Amino acid sequence: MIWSTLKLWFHKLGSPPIFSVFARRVAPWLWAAFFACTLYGVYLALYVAPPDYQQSDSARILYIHVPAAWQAMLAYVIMAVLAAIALIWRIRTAEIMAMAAAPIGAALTLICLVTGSLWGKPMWGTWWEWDARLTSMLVLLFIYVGIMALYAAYDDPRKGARVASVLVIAGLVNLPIIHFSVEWWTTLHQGQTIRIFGESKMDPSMIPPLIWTTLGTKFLFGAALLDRARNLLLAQDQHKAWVRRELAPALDDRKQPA
Amino acid sequence: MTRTRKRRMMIVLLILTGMSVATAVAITAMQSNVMFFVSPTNVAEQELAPDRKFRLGGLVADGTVVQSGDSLDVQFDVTDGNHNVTVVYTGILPDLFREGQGVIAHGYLRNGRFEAYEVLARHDETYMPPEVQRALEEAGHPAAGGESKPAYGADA
Amino acid sequence: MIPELNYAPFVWSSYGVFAAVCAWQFLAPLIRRRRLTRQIREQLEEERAAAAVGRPAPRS
Repeated sequence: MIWSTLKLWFHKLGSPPIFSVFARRVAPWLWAAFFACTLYGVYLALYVAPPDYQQSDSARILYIHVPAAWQAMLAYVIMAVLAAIALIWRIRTAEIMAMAAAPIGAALTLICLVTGSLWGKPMWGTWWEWDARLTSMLVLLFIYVGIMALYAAYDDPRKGARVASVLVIAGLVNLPIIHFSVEWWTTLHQGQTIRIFGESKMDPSMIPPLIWTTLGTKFLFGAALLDRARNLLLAQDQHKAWVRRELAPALDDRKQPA
Repeated sequence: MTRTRKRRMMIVLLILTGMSVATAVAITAMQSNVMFFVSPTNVAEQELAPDRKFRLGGLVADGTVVQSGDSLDVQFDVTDGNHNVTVVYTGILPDLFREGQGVIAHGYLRNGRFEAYEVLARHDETYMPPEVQRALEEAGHPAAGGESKPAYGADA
Repeated sequence: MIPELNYAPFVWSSYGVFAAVCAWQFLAPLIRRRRLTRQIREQLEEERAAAAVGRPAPRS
């Protein structure tokens, strides 16, 4: 029952017009959820959470640095699943969603790198060092940018998406390197604080802002993904009737020539 | 699943395994190069060419920090619990620098002393409010303050 | 109102960068869609004009 419903949804969303309507209706709610979670999370992070015993207020950078890093990596996993679907089943919506995920992942990686640098200067004493964690995260940014460039290099977007999808799958190896870099090698970056298995090394009073800003980045990714994927579909199908129907209100809102 | 799709899936899996194997080989081959720093034990165990630049990581040993009055000269021992290396440095230290703190010094080993031209601070992955840390310290909790993880052990 | 923080320049610029990138993520698709809509509107007008004189519309 649940399986067949999911399958039906999967097939329905595979249809560009239905996806477009879905994205148009759902994205604003995701943006609203992003805004609410992030605003509340940032309020907790800057006003309510206590300073750290070692790093004082500079530790507050954690509340955006860490969620951005997590979502940058989760975005890659989602993009890789979509790319695999695109390569195996040749579903156009999956292709487009995979390609739409790349710039968002790049943006999140950029947030992670820049805030990390701004945190490293006062605490470690350096903006940047070539340790395994920092370098592998920079490589993630380059992979994201490479995917975007490869996709843009082809005149035929469907072909471009398939070629870029191969790069997405190949780049997947970087994720375990990022994750385990602080355990496999000696690094300037400290080890993991939050663990899914085992004890987290963060005081409970510092957890709530992290949860809210983390939720915020999930909604940010979802909202931006729907917006961007819808745009790519509309652009690819701009000569088709469904796009003109879908955009009819926007197309009509200016005076037609008499 | 049709035959074409199975074939495409095999290709996807092949890319994945190929990349994993290649990366695993590369990582194993470069293991020591990817290490950001070496511990005092590493220094004691192997002969390092003088004038070879490397990074030394460990904790600032208690009671070894000697700061000269009006200049920026500073001397301290870096320890991993088993061995100590004396570091000399001239310059501004990071805010986190103190006894018991993790540090990474970049420089040369000369005449048994490590001449650093850069000293970075390293902190652990524990985050807590100052009050909690004070309470833990009063209770004699070993995890309070400095590094809690044996990241500077001989195996590091 | 504004909390007094240590390392304030670093903390505020981090949050600033975060806000700027998020704003860009929100605005970029809107700008793109506006441009696309304008493009399609022009195409439609061309088609309409072409239909009026009775020749087939050019496909851009």
